[in-house]
Amino acid sequence: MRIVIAEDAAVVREGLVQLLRDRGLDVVAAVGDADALLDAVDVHLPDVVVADIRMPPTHKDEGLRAALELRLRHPDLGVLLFSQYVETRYADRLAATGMSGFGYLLKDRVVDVADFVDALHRVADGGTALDPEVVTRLLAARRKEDGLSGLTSRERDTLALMAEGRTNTAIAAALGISQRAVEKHTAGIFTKLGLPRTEEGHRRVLAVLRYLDT
Amino acid sequence: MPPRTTRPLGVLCFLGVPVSRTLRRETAYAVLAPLPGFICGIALLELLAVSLVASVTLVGLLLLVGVLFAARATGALHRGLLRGLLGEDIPAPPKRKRRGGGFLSGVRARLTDSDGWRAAAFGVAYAPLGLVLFAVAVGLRLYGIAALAYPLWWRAVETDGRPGIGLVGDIGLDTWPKALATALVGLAVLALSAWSTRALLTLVVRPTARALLGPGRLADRVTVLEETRALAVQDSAATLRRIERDLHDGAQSRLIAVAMALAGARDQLSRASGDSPQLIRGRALVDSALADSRTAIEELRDLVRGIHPPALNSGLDVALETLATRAGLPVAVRLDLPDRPPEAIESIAYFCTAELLANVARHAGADRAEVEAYVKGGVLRVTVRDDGRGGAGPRPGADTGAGGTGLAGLAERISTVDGRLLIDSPDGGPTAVTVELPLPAQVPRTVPQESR
Repeated sequence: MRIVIAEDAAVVREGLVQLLRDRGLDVVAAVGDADALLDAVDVHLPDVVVADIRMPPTHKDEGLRAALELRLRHPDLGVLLFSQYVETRYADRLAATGMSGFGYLLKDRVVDVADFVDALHRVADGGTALDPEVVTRLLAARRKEDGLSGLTSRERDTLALMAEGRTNTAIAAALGISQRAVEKHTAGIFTKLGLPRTEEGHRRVLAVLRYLDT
Repeated sequence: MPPRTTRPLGVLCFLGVPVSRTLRRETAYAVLAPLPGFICGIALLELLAVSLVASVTLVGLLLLVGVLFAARATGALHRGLLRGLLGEDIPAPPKRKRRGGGFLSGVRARLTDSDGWRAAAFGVAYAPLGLVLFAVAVGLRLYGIAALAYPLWWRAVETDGRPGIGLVGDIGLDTWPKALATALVGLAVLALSAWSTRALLTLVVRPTARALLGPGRLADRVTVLEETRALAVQDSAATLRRIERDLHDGAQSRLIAVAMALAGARDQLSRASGDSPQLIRGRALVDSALADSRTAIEELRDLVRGIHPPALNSGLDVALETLATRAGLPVAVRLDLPDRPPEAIESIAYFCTAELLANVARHAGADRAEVEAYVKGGVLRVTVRDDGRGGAGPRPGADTGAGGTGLAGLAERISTVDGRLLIDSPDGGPTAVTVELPLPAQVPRTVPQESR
């Protein structure tokens, strides 16, 4: 897995590079701003990009805009946004591109290195990795709206973990229920959201997008 | 010992002979200023009378606006005369700042322009005052000079066949002693003219002009206070934003780097084989340091959100939407904010909305809420509605929750920028609380600084 990192704070950038390399991951470039990120991706063609949202020159949402641009140029590229704050609108905008292979994590999640690396892999493979806080906020705000109101609390919990990008096994472990129960809940979710029975993994993404889009 | 010339000069001064600079100025002013002053004063008086009578109609009000404009011009003329002829330098009152608003509020602002009215008062009052000044300074002085010179010319005139000027009845100024006495009276009249001219100028004209033509002290103070307050509010908003940026780029980043290093260390330690006491102790220490650093990062993040919410960097609309998503209940957001308000206003609007939404979530028992924000007539209005039980009201001190000062606290915060808090919350609900924040028309938004 080839990784490009874009982060303007040098200490964080170096720390992240070191952390990932110690884990044996292939960090091919680490840059400090959005323009350099676009160039680096064109040159190195990585599998996944880790991008800070706030970067020079205005320190607003350069990273996000670069990510949207990258998605147009390289549809298969995984993008993991990386921020010190949860701004759900950013996740919304990325999700609105209607593609899988994106993530949004708070920077301090890297402290759980294994989880972080796992999230990187998921994003690189076209999955999602949303910070639990992002998911909590989105769900709390939208629980009572639209088709989501029919979900039971177990189903909501399941969907929340699904939105973070977790597998059924991981969901079962997190909720302390059997894997069969998780499958039952996910089936319930798909039915209530009216998602067609096509490819299983794709439906998961659609369910998550439904959350983010409502 | 004083110079010898002082005494005769002093006598001349006493008689009003323009030998000193001050006397020349006073004389020049008394001779030249009354005529234009009189004409302007009478014209102003008539215009005022006409427009006041007509002011029951809009046209009359507009005319009155014009008259006040003319009054200001007259004031400027007077200030020019006072400065040029009398050396009395009166600063012009500050220009009225045009606040945002419609046509009618503009008319009202001009009609309540106290500087214009004071200038009008001076212009009208000056018409008779100028006449008196002219009579005292010029008329009285001519009489004095004529009387002083009487011994020179009394024999040249005749009254009823006798030389000199006849006074009332049979008394005539027809002898040398009487002519000399008349000259003495002339001296007295000259002195009176000089004295009363000076008295009129120093006791009446100058103070009145200073009071009516200069900047009003109260108005001046208010202007200064408004400006300094606006600056203070703006400055504190900029400072908070800078602190947020500094924390984000500095302490927060460094803490995250520390946490990363610790995470790496834990990774390495967990892979190190063996379970010597040192290794076990080392792992425990790193774990504990890691936990502490995470807590510190989270605390710092909450702190920053309280200082300057990062979402505000992207605009009030983004910030309000973000607030809505973390409100803990469904919040519909309707925003119409084409232009960004000044930072300070955005910040107040944000924190008010945050507090109102928190109130809704905590106290209202509501199922859903709505945030509406738009700008109309130079005022930013943010309304938070809910379908809760109502009964919200400002109760100073009633809300003793940590940090919560309730609606009264909000009202105080809003009042720092002349805003208003409108609460509509009948018992049983629903509640609608509106925050009105006037937008200063001409204060440009400070452009965010480039990164250091």
